[in-house]
Amino acid sequence: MRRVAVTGIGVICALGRNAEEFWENLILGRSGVRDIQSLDTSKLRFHRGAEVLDLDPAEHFDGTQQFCLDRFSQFAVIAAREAIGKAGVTITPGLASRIGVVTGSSVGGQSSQDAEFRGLYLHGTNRVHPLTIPRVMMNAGASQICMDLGITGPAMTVSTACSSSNHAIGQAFWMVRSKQVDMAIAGGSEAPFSLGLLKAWEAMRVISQEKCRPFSKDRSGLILGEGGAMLVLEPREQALARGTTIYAEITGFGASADAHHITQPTASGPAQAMHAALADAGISCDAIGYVNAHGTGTISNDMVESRAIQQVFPASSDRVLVSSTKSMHGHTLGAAGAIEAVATILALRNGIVPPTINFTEPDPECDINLVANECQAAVMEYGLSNSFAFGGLNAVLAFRREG
Amino acid sequence: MDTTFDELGIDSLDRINILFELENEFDIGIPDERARSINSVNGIVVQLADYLQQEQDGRV
Repeated sequence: MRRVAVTGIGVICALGRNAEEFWENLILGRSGVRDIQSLDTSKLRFHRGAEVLDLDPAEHFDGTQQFCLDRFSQFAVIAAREAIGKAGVTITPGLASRIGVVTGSSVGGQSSQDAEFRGLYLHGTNRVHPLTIPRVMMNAGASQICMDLGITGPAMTVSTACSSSNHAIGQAFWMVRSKQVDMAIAGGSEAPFSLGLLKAWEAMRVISQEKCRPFSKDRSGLILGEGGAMLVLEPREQALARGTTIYAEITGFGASADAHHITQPTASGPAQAMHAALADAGISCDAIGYVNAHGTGTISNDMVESRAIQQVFPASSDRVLVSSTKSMHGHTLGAAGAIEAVATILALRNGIVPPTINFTEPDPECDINLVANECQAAVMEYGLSNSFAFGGLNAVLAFRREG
Repeated sequence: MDTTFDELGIDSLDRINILFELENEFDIGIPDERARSINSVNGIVVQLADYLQQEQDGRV
């Protein structure tokens, strides 16, 4: 089997318009959480979100594209362009059919759907825009990336709620490793700020009124975010031959299903996924220096995830560094795994663990070695990035520092 | 009355369903903070009575 390198990274989220801005804000512990601006929140019990502010589609897309792309697809294409640009790849006709695209999204073109259905239900328009289906469909991000970059290889979308983009990256990693493709663009994007969806989140009673404080005793829930991130994956030998920058090696992917409850997490399912990622990478838990936690900031997730980490790192759970960057860029649902994969890759590459901000008080139920409030320098060979979803579907990626 | 939701086998998902039904039935909005203390049948009664009294007094 081939070793697989990450040769391109692209991000757009509340913390930055590209990987450089994202990383700078991440290690400075800056928050991307503001009062929600894209819609009127007066009917909501929460008003804070991690939005991408001042995005002008005209800066990125021609007229036809602006017409066709929902915001979540715009994030997908913007991140893919950055990633492929950093990889320095010229997509020749010969290469085009050997590149795969795997994207993740939990809710697809929510805001397009909300806007069109509002007219139908509320204003009696009795017709919806003919591009509603192509804007809303979950695979729009993958399709638009292929069209934008001229990629004709296998392309698909994975939708597993908050684990979507970790499953997508894991799937693409296996496709490159097993020679199904010679390169892949993989990640995810999400634009969940529509009133209908926010009301649905409100009803789940897991949204914080103020700040996301993962693993802190006074944590009060998650803060929703939006954005997208993409990785370029290719055989490590090919990357070395091209002389391109290798950001990290992707070495393992593990997934599991809790088979327990549609919303309540278990420790055993996430632990099984972490074990599977370690086994896939052929390493023991002692090799891991950093875990980018799912760390949503809900009472339940953080307690259960801490137990899972203790189970996987029985002798070293007091040593392995853990942080949740969701405290800064919010919970971006189907984009979360991809954004956090970039955070994990850059943490290994730069030898710096980004912090969990807004932390005030240790919780005995979350007994882990948390990097709180300020970043921490550390030499780490391997890192894990966790994503766990409603529905009990867990996905964990393992990365290795290059060089 | 003091039997907890846990003892009745009512899990977190059942709980938010109950809260949703209460909000619908009485046409009220129960904030998360108040909802957190509703963990038993008695909790429902006490919180709801208090809430409806407050509403009557125009404090909500």
